[in-house]
Amino acid sequence: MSRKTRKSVNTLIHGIPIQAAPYSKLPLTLKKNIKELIANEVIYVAPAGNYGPLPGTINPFAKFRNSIIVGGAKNDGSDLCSFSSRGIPNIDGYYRPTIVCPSVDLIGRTHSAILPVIESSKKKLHLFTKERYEKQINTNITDVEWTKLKQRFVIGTGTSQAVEYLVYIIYWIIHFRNQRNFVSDQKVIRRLLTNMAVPIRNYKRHEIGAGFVDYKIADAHLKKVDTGNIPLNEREFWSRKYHNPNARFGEIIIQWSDNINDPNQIDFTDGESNVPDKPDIEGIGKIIE
Amino acid sequence: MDKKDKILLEAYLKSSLEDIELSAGRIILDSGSEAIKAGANEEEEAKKAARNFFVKKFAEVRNLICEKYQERVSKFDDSTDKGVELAGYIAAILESNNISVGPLNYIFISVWLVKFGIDKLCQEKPENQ
Repeated sequence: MSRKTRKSVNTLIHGIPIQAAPYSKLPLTLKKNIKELIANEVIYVAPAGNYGPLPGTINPFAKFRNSIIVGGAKNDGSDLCSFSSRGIPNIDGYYRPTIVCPSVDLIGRTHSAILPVIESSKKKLHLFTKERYEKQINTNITDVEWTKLKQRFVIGTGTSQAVEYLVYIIYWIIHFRNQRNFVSDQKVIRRLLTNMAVPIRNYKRHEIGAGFVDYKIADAHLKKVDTGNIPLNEREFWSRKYHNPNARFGEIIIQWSDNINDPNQIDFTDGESNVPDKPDIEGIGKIIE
Repeated sequence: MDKKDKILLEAYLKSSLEDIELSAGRIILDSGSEAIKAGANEEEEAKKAARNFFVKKFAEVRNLICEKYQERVSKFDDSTDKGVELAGYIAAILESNNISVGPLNYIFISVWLVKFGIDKLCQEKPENQ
């Protein structure tokens, strides 16, 4: 990522909805690029992978320190999806999902280049509605925006879709904090997400991380801030240390690394090339178009 | 076999044959020429892919595995942790002979052989005989 890009934005979220076989190794250059991205305080969100239900099946794209690893749950949070990759049980120091998010039949831009997903979308046209999408992103959009978006969007199931879902929750959290003059970084986002997560019965940490998060849960958690009912281990993030009334918050940019056929082709040098065509959610934050 | 592999091996042995085939199938279907392809695969498709892969792989290593297994079978019968020792032994044979296991690891194949029944597999006549 260039210095110029870094200076021009307030927060950059990078969603990487791709996976490789759990025992494969990523090319060194690619690993270096991802590490650099995270070192530059970019919030890096990766899918746990779709290789469940066995343990030790985490996607190599997610195996980076300080990354936010998202697994796939049923949309109502009642159960973990069988395909969601798991970490290794009873041992520390191995990667596992940070949290799990809705991941079934979601509408989104992810996988727009992948034929099987496009084919499966054709069978689920009845799910492809503006109302459903609005509910998914917790934001109302205009008919004009929907007409534009739906041409590129597909319906998909998997942890990559959970990444897309989570990226918008993160966007929303940062936006919430910006409005109240609080600065956000990876540490803040990780702690908030793990604090708000609700455990799923019968699943362990290596399977679901801290638990399930959706918009409703995130909303309920953030409301605690305005009522002063903040969890103890989160208070420093809502204190003077992170409060800057003079901060000039820039844009919240969401970057994607999908629609690729070769991991070597991922370009992290320019945030302009892989930007989403999502609606601009109201408020301070803005997604580059 | 390091600590991580041992934990994985024990966890896989506690899993059902169906779960092993599901995970293996999902990995197989997402690998090869479509390494970056994402998205969850249909369960039946995944299980079928895994079963085909394991059966084909066993046919390739049948002589080696069955011969080594017969040499040691009596020792495993006395073991309190027969499954773990047997699966570890098969994984070590595969690894030391540099058998190609595609996108999977040795533990996947050895545990599948144990869960499916190595006795049964070795007693059955190969299809080409």
